[in-house]
Amino acid sequence: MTLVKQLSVMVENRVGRLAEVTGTIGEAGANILGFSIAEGENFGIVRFMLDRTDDAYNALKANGHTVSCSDVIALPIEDNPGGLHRVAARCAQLGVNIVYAYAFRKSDGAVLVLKVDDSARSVRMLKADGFNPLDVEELV
Amino acid sequence: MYWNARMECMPKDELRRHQFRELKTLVYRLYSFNNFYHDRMKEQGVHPDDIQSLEDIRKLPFMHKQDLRDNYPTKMFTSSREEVVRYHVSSGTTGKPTLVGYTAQDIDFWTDSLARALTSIGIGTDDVVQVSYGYGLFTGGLGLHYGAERVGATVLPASVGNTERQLELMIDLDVTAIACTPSYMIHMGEVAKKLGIDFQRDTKLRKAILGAEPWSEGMRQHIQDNLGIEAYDIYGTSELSGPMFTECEERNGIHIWSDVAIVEIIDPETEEPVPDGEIGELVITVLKKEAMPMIRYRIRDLTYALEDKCECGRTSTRIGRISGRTDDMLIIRGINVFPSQVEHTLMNIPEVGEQFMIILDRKGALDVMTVQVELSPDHFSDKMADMMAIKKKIDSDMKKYLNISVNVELMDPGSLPRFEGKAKRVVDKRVF
Repeated sequence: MTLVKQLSVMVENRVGRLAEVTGTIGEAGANILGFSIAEGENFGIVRFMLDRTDDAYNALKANGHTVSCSDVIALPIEDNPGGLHRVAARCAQLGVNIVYAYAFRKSDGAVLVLKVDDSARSVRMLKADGFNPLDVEELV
Repeated sequence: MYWNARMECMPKDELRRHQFRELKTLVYRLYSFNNFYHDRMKEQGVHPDDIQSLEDIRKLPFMHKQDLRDNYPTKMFTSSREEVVRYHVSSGTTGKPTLVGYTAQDIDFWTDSLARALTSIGIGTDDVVQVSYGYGLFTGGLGLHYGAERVGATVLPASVGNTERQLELMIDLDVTAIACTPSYMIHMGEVAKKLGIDFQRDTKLRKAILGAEPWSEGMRQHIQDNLGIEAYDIYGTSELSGPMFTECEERNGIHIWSDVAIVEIIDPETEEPVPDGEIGELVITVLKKEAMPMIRYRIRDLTYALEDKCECGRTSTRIGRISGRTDDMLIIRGINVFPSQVEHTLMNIPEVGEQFMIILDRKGALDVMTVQVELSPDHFSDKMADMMAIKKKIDSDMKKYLNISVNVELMDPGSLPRFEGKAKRVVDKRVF
């Protein structure tokens, strides 16, 4: 099964709070590959895809941040019109429910980060369908 | 106009003799029939025979809200279940509510006290009274309802909420007086303005009986100037029966009918009486109460007593505007809330920590209570739906235990202030 680690950080909705988090990640020497922000009412959840996840996790913890590490699927997608649609449409056909998603671009193409209901089953189905979820090395 | 001219205008010395007789009877009855009060008097080393004058009331032990909680639900009742005709319930400080019970005679005295009060502000058979206090477990709605019916007014039992409909009915039914919380009165005024309703031009409303939450002379002026009505202060708590006493047309203190209750004002620290006219804690003894007698009840409200004869001719003791409390009880939209209730509710929710803050503010005229609570780090999820489910759970538990809607904010663990010594968990931004 090919899953990658992602860090999620709880960030109160006040000026300067995100900068505290990104500052800590930068000082830990971790590079942010991709990220997304989900907004709640008085707080948000910031999710980071990083190259040095463990270092960033330890630094965030040490600085008192609320952080969790979770498994997500990183799928390479074609960086041209309809690229995202092809994945979304297949997920729909396979009955894979997407909890959240975000995407970023790297030198050799685009990557879609997916959080799905049942990761193991979804990865199996996506692989059988010809998709190739990336591992950490491939991601960086 | 008096409802009961003899009692309301009885000369002071005669009233005091009357109070003494009633007190003596009450103490003998409680000593003989009430285990709780019998034991309390024994502990204090006082016997009914020791009550030789009205001043001897000071020899009697105090009663506290804690006593009602400790004896929940009916252990303090001195009437049998068959004699009790009604219960009312108010929120307790640690999740347990406070229950009060009434015999038919208790309801009758309560209603009569309000009938005197309503008559003293000129409300009678010519009036249509809109009761916009909550009906139900809270004493406000039913109390005013019975009182207004007794003086022969027509009652519109509007209860709380649905303000536009309330205004429509007020106009259609020629409502002349309303009973509600001062903040709801202001809210109604604001809604009316939006709808283009002018109280003076479009309604017959001339009087408002306002209470169940702290308010000030400034708020009275604001209401009177903006709505062109007369605003009267009303006082009571469920332990006394409910709302019982109001100002008269003079609006110079709330008449506490001396044949109904004895007023003491004490220093909350020393528990000794304060000098005449000075502010202290109000202690009330209700002289006629069957199901749940109250002797020297520590209400925890701060006020002062006025003993001079009122311009209206009534001789009862009056109390000034309530200026604060000696405990940490909060009054939010007329509902009593103790910070300990919030704490108790949160303690039973594993997804959150024990630190919390209460922030009170006004949105328009209405109180808004925000509870900030720290998420327990183990329950942090990368899925917003999980986080919102936690928030929803806290929302519904708060609503269940506090009886009011609370705005819950999930905070980052460790982000709320920690206190050494006495915690200051309440930030009250409301202006009274």
